[in-house]
Amino acid sequence: MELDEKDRNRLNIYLKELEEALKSIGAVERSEIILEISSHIRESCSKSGRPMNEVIGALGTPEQVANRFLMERGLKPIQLKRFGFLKWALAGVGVFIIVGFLSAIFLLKSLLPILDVNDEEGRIRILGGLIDIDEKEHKVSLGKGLIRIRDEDVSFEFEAIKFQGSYDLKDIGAIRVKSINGKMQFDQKASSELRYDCRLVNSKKEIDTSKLVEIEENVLTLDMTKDVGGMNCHFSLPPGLDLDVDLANGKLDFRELKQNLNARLTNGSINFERDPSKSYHVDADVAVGHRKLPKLNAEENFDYNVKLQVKNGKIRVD
Amino acid sequence: MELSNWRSQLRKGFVEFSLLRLLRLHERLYGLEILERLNLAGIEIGEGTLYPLLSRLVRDKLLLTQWEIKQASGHPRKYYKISAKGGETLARMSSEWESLVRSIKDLEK
Repeated sequence: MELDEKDRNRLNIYLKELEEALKSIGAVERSEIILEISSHIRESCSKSGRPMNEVIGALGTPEQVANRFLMERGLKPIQLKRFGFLKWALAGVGVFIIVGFLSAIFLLKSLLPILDVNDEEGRIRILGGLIDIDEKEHKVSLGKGLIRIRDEDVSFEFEAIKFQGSYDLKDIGAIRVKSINGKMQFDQKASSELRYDCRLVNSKKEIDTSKLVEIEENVLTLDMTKDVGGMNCHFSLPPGLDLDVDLANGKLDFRELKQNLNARLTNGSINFERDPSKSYHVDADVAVGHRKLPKLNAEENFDYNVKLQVKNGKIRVD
Repeated sequence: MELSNWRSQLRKGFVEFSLLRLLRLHERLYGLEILERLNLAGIEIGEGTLYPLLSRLVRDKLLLTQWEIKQASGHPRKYYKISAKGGETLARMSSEWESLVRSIKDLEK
């Protein structure tokens, strides 16, 4: 299957970095590894139709892949480049942004340079600035300013649509929330309703909010992965219901929840503030990044089970 | 109880065994095929983990490899085959597995 120019460039960069990372392995073995990985990526794309970003993302960064080969040979793993994870994880975001937001013209104009990393200044620009990260200023800009995330704030270039209201949770046992970009904050309120207060945005300026909520069996799902480019949402939930949250990029904030929680975030940070009168079993996993956890007692019985996962970024539990 | 830690420990020991069994059942398979078949059987292994593992089994002489460069699809493939030593190792793993299963059953007595 013929790859388009963008994918070919991306693949070439990936393989070049893999080769560099495998330097300490003999030339013949090294070229066999690269040839096998290259065939894997190309055939996986053509067989399954998955975009190259996804296939590469599933493999891992060139440094991660190389390290596994190095370690099982008893060789020293190489240092992961500081922004290595972001380059590849966010390449996937770039696709979402492009598909969700930008016209084909915008895309063509910004084809090159694909990737621009300035380690000294702590800046990364991907796809000509469609994804712009300033590590020093703690700023993430997606879609050339369409979504700006800075610490606690998320702001949008376009006028955001208000999506506010409440759902009666009679007969509901669990809530699921799924989204791609933005910030979500959850706190707990004694009532029988889910209250939500959101600002949503996408390039079309129109979102059919009636399609966002679905109820099946006793699970209420709020799915913002399709028409919503970015969001800043505040949810208040009653105690007891199980909560499941999925966000690709941005920030998740949980305050004094009284429920079991399963939260997954690809890039960004999760903050979890415990209710001091309750006990939690917390599982916090960060693939690349760090965690800040208080001393958690290994209790036999606890009130709530909490599982937090971040691929790239950080988790903080208070 | 949180099972994921136990499961991942268990899985680590199990994947090699499954891989050897898979290659015993088939004349030869290449990377993507191995990945697909393992996943179909419910044995999760990451793509980034499979290739280094195959590489190690080759270096331990449990597997043999064969490159096929000319493919209709144009993607060169590295095929893996179980070796004689691999077959013996598999036989020992299988009896180990069976005695483990028996031990668990014996607990019930």
